[in-house]
Amino acid sequence: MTTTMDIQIQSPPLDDLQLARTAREDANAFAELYRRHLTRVYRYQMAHVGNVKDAEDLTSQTFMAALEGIGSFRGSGSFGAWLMGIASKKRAFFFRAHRFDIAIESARHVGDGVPTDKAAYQRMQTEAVSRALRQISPDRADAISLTFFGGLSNAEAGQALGKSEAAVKMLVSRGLQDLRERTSLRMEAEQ
Amino acid sequence: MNENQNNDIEKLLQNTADKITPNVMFAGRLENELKQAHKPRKSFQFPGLKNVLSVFAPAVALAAFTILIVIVIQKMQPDHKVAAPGVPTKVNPALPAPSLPRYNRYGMTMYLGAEFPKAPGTMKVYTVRNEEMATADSVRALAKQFKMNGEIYKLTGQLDTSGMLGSDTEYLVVDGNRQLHVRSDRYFMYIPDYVSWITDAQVLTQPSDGEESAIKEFMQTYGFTSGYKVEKIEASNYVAFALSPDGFPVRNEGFQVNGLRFGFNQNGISMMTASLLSYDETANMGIISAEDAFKKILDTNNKYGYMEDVQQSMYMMVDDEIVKPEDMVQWTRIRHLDETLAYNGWLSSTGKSVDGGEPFIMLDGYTVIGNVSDIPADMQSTYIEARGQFHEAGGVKTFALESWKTHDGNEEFIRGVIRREGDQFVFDSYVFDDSTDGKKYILQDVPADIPLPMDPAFLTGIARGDIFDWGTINNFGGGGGGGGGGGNMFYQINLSGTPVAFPTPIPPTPSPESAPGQTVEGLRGMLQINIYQQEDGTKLTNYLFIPNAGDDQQAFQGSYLLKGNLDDALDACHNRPIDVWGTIGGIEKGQTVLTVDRYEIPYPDLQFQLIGGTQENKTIDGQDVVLVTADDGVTYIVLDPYGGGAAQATPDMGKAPNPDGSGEAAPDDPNAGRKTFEALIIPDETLLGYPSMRVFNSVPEMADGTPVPMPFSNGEPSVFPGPPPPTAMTIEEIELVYFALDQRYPQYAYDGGQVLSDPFYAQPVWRFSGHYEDGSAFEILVQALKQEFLLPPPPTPTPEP
Repeated sequence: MTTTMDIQIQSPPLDDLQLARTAREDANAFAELYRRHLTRVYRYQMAHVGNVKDAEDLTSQTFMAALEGIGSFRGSGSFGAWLMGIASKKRAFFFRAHRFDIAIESARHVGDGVPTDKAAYQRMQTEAVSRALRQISPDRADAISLTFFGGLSNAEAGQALGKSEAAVKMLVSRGLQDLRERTSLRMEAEQ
Repeated sequence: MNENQNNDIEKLLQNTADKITPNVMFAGRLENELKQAHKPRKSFQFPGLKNVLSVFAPAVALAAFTILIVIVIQKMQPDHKVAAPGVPTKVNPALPAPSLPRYNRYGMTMYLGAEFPKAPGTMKVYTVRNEEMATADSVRALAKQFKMNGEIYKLTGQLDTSGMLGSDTEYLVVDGNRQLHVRSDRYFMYIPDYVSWITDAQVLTQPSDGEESAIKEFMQTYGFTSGYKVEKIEASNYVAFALSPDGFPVRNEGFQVNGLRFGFNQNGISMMTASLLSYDETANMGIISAEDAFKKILDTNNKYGYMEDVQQSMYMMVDDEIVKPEDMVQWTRIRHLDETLAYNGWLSSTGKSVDGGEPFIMLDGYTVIGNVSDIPADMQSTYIEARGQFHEAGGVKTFALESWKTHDGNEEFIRGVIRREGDQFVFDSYVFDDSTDGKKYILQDVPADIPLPMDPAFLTGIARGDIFDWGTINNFGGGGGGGGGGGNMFYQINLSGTPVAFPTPIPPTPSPESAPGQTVEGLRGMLQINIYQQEDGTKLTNYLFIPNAGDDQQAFQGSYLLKGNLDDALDACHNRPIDVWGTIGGIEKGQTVLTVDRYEIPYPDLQFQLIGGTQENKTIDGQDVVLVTADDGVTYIVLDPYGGGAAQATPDMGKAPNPDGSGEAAPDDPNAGRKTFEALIIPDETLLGYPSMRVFNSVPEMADGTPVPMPFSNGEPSVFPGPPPPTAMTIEEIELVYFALDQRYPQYAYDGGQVLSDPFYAQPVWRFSGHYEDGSAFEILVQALKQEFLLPPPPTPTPEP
């Protein structure tokens, strides 16, 4: 029953590769790709920054960069991996440029008097995950966020990160171990 | 390492991920921005403005409003102004924009509609004092200033408002309906009626005595009495500028200001946020003139020393139709008082107050009383099902709770049609996908002034069987609004007293404009037709002409906006060649105009073709080209669709591997490299001895060799919702102000993360502001300090791939 409002899929199912190539000249094709991949990009950014404002900002930046660079997508890997590679770089630049720890902000930010949204419902859990991911090695955190939040396979995450599938598998495995042993996430998980 | 041990962590991560969903308002807005930012490949780019252009949208109300302000101020102004605190120069609204001096900036026409104020020789540079974070005692003092006597709580993100002041720890004072949130001596927020603030829509204020009087009374009442200047500012609400010690307004990035910002709703002032910097004078430095600052704006090679922001109006796109701010309507459900009801809402609680008082519990802004014993302290905002009664006694709004439980799911936000059926109001929800079957609901307490049938109607609330228990109804979907950043970063200030040499400027890139007055005779090129669906239902058609490649085979030489002797016959020539006779000259909509005397359609029957074939990259006569051998055995050379130069060779020869887009073709796959090409074969067009085809699109064939249908045809003109991207901007105001970064939100550069601005100083800037032709507001802040007081930028960061 949850609405998708303006983001319903209206076109027949076409593969990403085909759409990506069409998207060079056609705004609707890119919009279709956007609808398909918005959630994974947003989840990925949310996992890292832990707040709606920055996650939306980084999601916007990711898709704007993808739009500008769509002509460079050659289809040698999946579109999702290519896109998440952009998302990963945007996230990396964001953290490199931010000298302070990122404040965990409220989901309510859209304006004065506008009712809240459902993101607040999961804020606490997301915050915990986000903070935990920042306590482990960035490579491992990125591999985890790409696979769990970005929905990529290990092979695709490897494409996004420029690593082999085996390397990603190892990063994820060790990252999970880190989360268990070095962060408070274990307590969250055991609740 | 035992991977099984990590199953619980994996489950937690997956569970968290599954519940993260982008806000539909954000999703819709970004999609619209992407559509507007999408340019067909090979059209002119405005390199420095890509981010800015992405957020353009109509802001008719704002533009009209600005003109109103301009008229008022214009009457008070002498002919020429010396820059002085708070006295900007502004455009003369009687002058039509085309008569104003105009300049070319990244291919966009910039009209100068304000005079350059005379600059004082020097301005101060202030060091911004450190922010003093709030303590219980400082909050108590501030509460006293606001005449509040309620409990004080320390928040760590529980309430919906938490974080609006940019930190995850802040203090809250509650006194009846009033709330005061405090981060520090600098940043705090006062809300006169919390319930009203979150339930009554914010209104677009107009410049009238009513708002200004209310602000002045507010400031008098609460002790903000000197050093302020009240003004209605662009893209926000009223602001009482907290002036610098020498009397200038102080601005932050992104249209934000230093001072008190006021929001209004139907009940008057709905909220006030404060940003009150304090300073120490650090230096007195020479500044450049406004005219020199303007030259920096026009310098396309200038990467640093200015910041640029665009603010769009609140608007929404619904079914490709623009909903303007003045047409947005929202109804908030008025709950029955003093009767027991089921209610779904967001519940949160604080810890005990700093003085040991009981936690403050809030349900959708209402103070919760009654059976609250099982509500934990410090409860994060949680969507619940409650049973109880709304009360209002002595003006204080409360919810007397009887019972509650966490709701298994989220608040719903659905779209459909409201209509009357007999004595009932019903709501037919839309079918979006397989998981959202259309359903008919009964609506209760529907306001009498809702127009019926209402289509579309956007509802928040929760379904209870056949009843949709709505909370809000509106006709636009979401909040809209927003803005975007552009420009670059400021140079750091050189306080050493010894000037540091800057790198030699790179010579400016030649303008793509052709020499005005040049005539063309029989110039062949491709016609591109773009149609824009206007908000009034009419369509605007732009005809762009892209000349063929020259002898050097440079594919794209630029494009022209065709004007003059055009007729309907052109409409059938989208993405097809035409020959043009006419004169080049002038700029319109940011494009060089080619005024057509006459044209010819060399191939009136030319049609797009879908051609199956195999592609290969080759080097012929030292040139990398792409060849396609079609199924009929003919080998074509692939040309760029626009301009006609040889298409760039592409490394990828993969076919569409699987329906989900994953995987790649194996090198020995017999179908590898086979594609379907959407192409235009222009008779007699050859290159390097091969017949040519202009490829507009190509898709690999599926794993089983079957062609993939083309989703869109390039043979038909594109229709874009909304107005065309703006191609002209008018500077309407030039003023000298101070600038200080909002240190709550650390700055990061768009070009790779290098932060160049120094956040610890308030420095003079020339502020150029105005509107794009679509009504979007812009501001460009140019560092005013002379170069000898600045430090050169560090080496250019590694560009993003």
